[in-house]
Amino acid sequence: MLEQNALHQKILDYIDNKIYNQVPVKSYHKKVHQNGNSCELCHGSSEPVTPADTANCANCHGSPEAVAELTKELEPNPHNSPHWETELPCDSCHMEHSESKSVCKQCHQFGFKTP
Amino acid sequence: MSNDNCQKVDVSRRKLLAGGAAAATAMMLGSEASASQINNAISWDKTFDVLVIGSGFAALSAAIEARRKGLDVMIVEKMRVPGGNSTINGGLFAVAGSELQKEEGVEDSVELMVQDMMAAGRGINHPELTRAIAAGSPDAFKFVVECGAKFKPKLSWLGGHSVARTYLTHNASGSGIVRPLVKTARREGVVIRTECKMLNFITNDDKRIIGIQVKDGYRFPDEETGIVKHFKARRGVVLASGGFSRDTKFLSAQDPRLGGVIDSTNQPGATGEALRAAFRIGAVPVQLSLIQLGPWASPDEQGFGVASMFNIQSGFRYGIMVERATGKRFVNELADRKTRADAMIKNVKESGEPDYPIILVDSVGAKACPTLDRCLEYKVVHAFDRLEDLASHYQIPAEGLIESVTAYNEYVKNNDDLELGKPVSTATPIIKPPFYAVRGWPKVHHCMGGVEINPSAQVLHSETFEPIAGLYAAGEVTGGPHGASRLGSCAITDGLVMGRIAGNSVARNDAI
Repeated sequence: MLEQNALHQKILDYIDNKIYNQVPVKSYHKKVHQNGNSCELCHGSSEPVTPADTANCANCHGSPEAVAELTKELEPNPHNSPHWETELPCDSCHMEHSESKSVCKQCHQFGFKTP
Repeated sequence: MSNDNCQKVDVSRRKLLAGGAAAATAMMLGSEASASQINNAISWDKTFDVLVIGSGFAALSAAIEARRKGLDVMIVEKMRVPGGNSTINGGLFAVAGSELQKEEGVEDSVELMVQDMMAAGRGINHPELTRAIAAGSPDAFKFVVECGAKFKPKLSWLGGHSVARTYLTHNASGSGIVRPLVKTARREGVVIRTECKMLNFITNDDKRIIGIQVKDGYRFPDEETGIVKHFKARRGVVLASGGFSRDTKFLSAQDPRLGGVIDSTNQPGATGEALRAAFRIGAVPVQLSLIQLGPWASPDEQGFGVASMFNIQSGFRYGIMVERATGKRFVNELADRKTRADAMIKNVKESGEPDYPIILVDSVGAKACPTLDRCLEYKVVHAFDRLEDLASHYQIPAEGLIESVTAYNEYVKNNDDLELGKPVSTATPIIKPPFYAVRGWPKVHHCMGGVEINPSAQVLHSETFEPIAGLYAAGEVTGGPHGASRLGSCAITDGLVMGRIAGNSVARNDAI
């Protein structure tokens, strides 16, 4: 299912970027982001020149500790690692406008599929 | 254009003279003039008593010690989270004369630890630094335990050590020490400023360090991010920015064999810019070309991975390492890292490609590995019911392998490795299936070289060989403590001991 979603996401990104001339956003963020027209939700500005503030992720998803609680059944827990606990910023792994990639992959082969 | 080329060649030649490199670089960059200009017109964005560059063992120790003297302390960390390499390392911490050694009946001393470190370092360690680290190890252990670190109840015996003296954190990771230190630092009032990259040291007309220039709001590795700011340090700056294992240009300048073809165990931020900033203001460079390869790494995973812990805890101590081509052992598996790594990288095919040696152990020896489940899950380590199956899988000649195992078992039985001199007094024979094996290949792990310091952690200037006022350094960014090859599990000791010394030294410095 996640593999299918990955392919689906790539197609959507391509359509957004090439056909509608919009910055690609993740499929699960399209509605809340008004199909990529609501930059200020994450960037705090309608014409952003700096990366998003991850405090804005917490506005919808809850604190890093709350997110870690949701994934506590996973072993290991990607949101509460021994190395950084819950301190790693969300966009260390979760990229909105490009492919997401787990930081853990630099050293480990956990097989995480980062949405 | 041709003039530029000549000039570049001249600079390259002068880099062969270690002392000249700093002077040449200073002239090229005009840092003296720019520092003077900064000094005259300085507008400070922030002022602290002590600024600490980096956030690993050495930085956290320095910051906490300085803070406990009542000073205002800020840690400056360029990455997005604190911890550096310290929080991802193996959590192995050598302590001479520890309580656990007394419990386990191990006879040890500071002197013996110094001997082991000097032997590994091929005798070119700065002995006063090596001794300071070994002597400070019991207090450093108490320090981290008081901060909340927990350790396994059994000592490890690492390659190059005469006795078992190495603690392992409860979670087999340096984070078992780093996270308690981060929490302690914050609770006690140390500011930890991440995404803040140190650019240059700022000196006054007396050549005293009075602060640093940084890029605040920096987002590694995007060099376009961040805003330049100037932070003042009333007492001094502690340089604790770690090694340069991820700086491929600087690395290959020191050792051309390492120019990108050998992987590193380090975190991506270990790029040594702060070290080079120290050279620009005249810090003495020490032993920069001595770069250690970790012999316990595997080519079948990235970075340090999980197989490294398997090899450290089980494979090298309770098992053997053999050439794939012959099945023969070729090095004492408990020799120090340099001996093992140098022997391993000689395993090459006719084409020059690596012919990865194999490390194997039986089920008794494998019990010592805390990460065995993950090693198997990630298919870095494999299990076999018979040695013949293991040989077949890795294409090792079965008769050669079985002959090596039989001979080794005889050495264990007689407590005498006639072949390679491995200490086998606590080893077990390789008898009981299943047998576990992994392909091994060294990775760039630790840079022994760095800035010169004295036992008070003051950085020395290459013009006078006296301390640079206001500048201290500790941990992997310094040169001298480990000589030609760092002994396993001594980096944590170095970082914690010299970090604490640096923190106390900067607290004793006069305020400006």
